Amino acid sequence: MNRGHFAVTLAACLAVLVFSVAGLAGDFNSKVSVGDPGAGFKNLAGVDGKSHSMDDYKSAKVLVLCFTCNHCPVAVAYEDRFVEFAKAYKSKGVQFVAINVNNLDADKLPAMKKRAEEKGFNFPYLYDPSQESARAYGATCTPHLFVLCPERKIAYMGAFDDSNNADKATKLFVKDAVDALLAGKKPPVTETRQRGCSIKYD
Amino acid sequence: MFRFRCSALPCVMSAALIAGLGCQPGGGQSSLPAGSDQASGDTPAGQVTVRIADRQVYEGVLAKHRGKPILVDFWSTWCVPCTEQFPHTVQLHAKYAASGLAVISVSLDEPSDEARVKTFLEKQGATFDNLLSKWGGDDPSFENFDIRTGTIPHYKLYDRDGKLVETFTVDPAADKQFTAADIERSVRKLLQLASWRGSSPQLGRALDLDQSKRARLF
Repeated sequence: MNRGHFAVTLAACLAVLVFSVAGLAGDFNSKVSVGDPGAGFKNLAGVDGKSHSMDDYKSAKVLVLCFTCNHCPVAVAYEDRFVEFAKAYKSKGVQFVAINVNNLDADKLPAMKKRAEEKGFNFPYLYDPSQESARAYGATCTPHLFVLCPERKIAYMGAFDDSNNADKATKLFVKDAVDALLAGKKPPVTETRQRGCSIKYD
Repeated sequence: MFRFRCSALPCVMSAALIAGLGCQPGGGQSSLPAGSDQASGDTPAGQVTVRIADRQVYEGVLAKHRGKPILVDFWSTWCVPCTEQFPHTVQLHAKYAASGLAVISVSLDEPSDEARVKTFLEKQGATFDNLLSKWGGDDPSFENFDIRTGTIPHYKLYDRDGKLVETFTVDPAADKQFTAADIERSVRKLLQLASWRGSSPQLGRALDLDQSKRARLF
């Protein structure tokens, strides 16, 4: 990994910290604010049959966490975009990780494995039956995105882009946030309203 | 409260009068003109209509029902919990309309899916005000209808003064998510409040304080 690039991304991370308002919570998030540390997760089962923890990805410059699921039509409408994004950004040191916390049969691990195969998921798709990871981020729906910088602070949170319909999406919030971080800058937009089906908290 | 049925006899006997009120001879399923209503403010019995809406239209429908507690159900055909819970909303209307509850549904389906939305509403027997957001499932719907969490199901409860007093939505911080029973409990409280106010202004004021403390605006 290019240490120069890493340093630049780190600087952007600190910039996010400095400029973030120390409010009680985000505009659309009652639990966390931009600039807060992103909660870690441990030992979540992946569709690859292995156990995954957030530390596994510590060498990634930027970590994009995506709370999603199988059954929600909005999440499904985004699947190809997630695959494209992961493909385009892996070599730039960006790790995309999807987490499902719904405990519906349609969303549990066997169904997740099947979906990952069908859609060619090129990123970890993890199952968190405790739902703690989603609660820790104040995640309300699927999909709900959190972009974490090298220090693992939240640099952007909310929607992936501005339309459920891929053809109509013009504001690519996650991509723009990641591009900015990689260039040593603060994301132009740090928070948008997430959009999708409610997470099925038990 | 008038209830017109579009059966043959009354239509034949007073065709001109009934035509003026929008009931077609033969009892067809034609949509009423947008916003048409009767003395009660509800859609005529047996009629299921849907209307494309923005925030202004929504406010207009709320204003139409001023004087009654109003339950608003935000849903869409692509939201499974929404379609599963919709019958509860229909039941609340059936059970409490006579006691003064007004019900409004707002769909976040795409406007181009209006026919499918109407079919669902007809099957549900949703004979109350049904709106369809002109912005469909995209952010402007959540923005314009104040759905901070970006997700449905979502319910709003307004008191008879048109004040938003309670919101039911997903809450990641809660030990327990809201249920249909919680909504009914709140509806019943508002309806009792309406009739209590009539008999004792002091009691009404005390209960007002209670309401504002309990308001959970998310």
